[in-house]
Amino acid sequence: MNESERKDEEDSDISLLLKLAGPREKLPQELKQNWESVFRQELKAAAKSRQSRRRKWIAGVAATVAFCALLLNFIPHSPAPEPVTMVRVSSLSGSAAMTGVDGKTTELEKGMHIATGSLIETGSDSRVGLNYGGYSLRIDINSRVTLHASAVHLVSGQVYASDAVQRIGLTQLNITTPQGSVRDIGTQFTVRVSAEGTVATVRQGIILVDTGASEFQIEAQRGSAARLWVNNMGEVQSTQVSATGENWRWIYALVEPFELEGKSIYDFLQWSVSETGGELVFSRASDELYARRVLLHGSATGLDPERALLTVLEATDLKAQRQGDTLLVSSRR
Amino acid sequence: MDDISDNTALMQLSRDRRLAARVVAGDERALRQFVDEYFPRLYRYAHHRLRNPADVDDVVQVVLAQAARRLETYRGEATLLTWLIRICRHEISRQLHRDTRDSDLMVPFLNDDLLRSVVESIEVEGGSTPEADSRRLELIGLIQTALDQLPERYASALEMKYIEGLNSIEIAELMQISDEATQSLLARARRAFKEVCGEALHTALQV
Repeated sequence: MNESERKDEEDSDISLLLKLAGPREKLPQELKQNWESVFRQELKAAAKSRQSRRRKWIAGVAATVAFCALLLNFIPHSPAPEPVTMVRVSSLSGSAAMTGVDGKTTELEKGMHIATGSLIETGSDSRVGLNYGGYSLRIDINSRVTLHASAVHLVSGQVYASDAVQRIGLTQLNITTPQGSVRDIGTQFTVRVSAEGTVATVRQGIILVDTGASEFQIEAQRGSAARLWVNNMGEVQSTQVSATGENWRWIYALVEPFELEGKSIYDFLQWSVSETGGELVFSRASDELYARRVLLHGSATGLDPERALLTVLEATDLKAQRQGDTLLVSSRR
Repeated sequence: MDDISDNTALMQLSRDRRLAARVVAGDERALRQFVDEYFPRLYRYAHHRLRNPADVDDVVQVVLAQAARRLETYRGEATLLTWLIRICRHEISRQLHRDTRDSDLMVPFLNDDLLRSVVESIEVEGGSTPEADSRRLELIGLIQTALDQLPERYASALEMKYIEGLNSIEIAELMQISDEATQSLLARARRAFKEVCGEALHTALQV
């Protein structure tokens, strides 16, 4: 048998084995979420246990450390440099103003760079979309937000944050409010501040809400969003709300329209999940191949990402179904 | 194993050590990577051995709880997948009251003669007797576990080519690499697949 024949035979043998086995099963999203929750809890418990083990050791060297710290106080040193966070206006609806650290007020324009320390105010008919250190940060109507290098302070109103954009510099977004702070762990969430308190709602991933007295981890569940409400007394309530629909629609007013003409279905689907949350999964590789090859024509201007998904796929051989955090795309045939 | 395989294995171990350390340190991206990469593999491993979904859920939860507690002790003596599977196998054995001293299933190497005889035995076992069905299920489990032992790009490329029937140009397009790189990737994937599933198939089919 020559080399080529041997390779052909080997190829058909491997083919037979793999065909017999079929495609590997996918881990159901619900199990994945439950297991991740278990894993995170145990990691946290293990970290606490490590900390406790270290305490004895720390006590042993505490005196030395205190002595060193005392010494360091006598050595002149310069303060740590303030981190730099790039902030740019990515979308704008209506007119909104920015007040800089020098007290000067300027009307915002799309594409404008914003210096940290500035206060942004929106009116009853205006919203602002920002690229904040690579995060998509959207400010709802009647809101006041101060942008710092390492945190966003929401004085009043509502913001939406998504890490779907490629982040530059920032690894975690921290939104502070009069009632505490909200930190993201790879997620999409809103924070609303009113006279009654702070409401944090997460529809994808996990956020940590710190009330000053305690820290709460809230996690979006399969097909629904988790909400935590903290009032001015520091009392906390949690509920489940819808992950799509009217409560979230305001964020789409700031979506930069997707130019459909000449783009592939794949590009469109990626855009759609980056806006609506979740992970894009194809039933088969051939479905993904189809999505990458077929180019779209026409326009989806005026449609929000949820509605555009239904309308655009209608004209193709693909269908999409949301399963928890996953947008599952498969062939209609 | 040749030098290239040795280097690849060392790189994998080093990468796994770093990943484990970052997860223990609370690095969110590392945790995300760990979840996305290893949870589906653990699921398939447990699923092929337990079948009952409730048992799979119970066992994997215990495995992950143990892994989270022990992750700081992981030193990269074996790959993270092997380390996790060992915990999983122990937990399954405990659950089924089985002896846990079985040797590793993933011992390399499948030579051409062995591969051929395995394939011939599948072809002969075309009938549907309970015994043949059981052997077939066992074999499917072994093949899929072997695929999970490979780097994900290798496993995906093999699935696309042999299960979905895509050609190398189509695979290249999906993986966003050149046709030449795809052919090279497929050749490496085939070799790795033969290595990892060899002894497992040999044992299972008693050829």
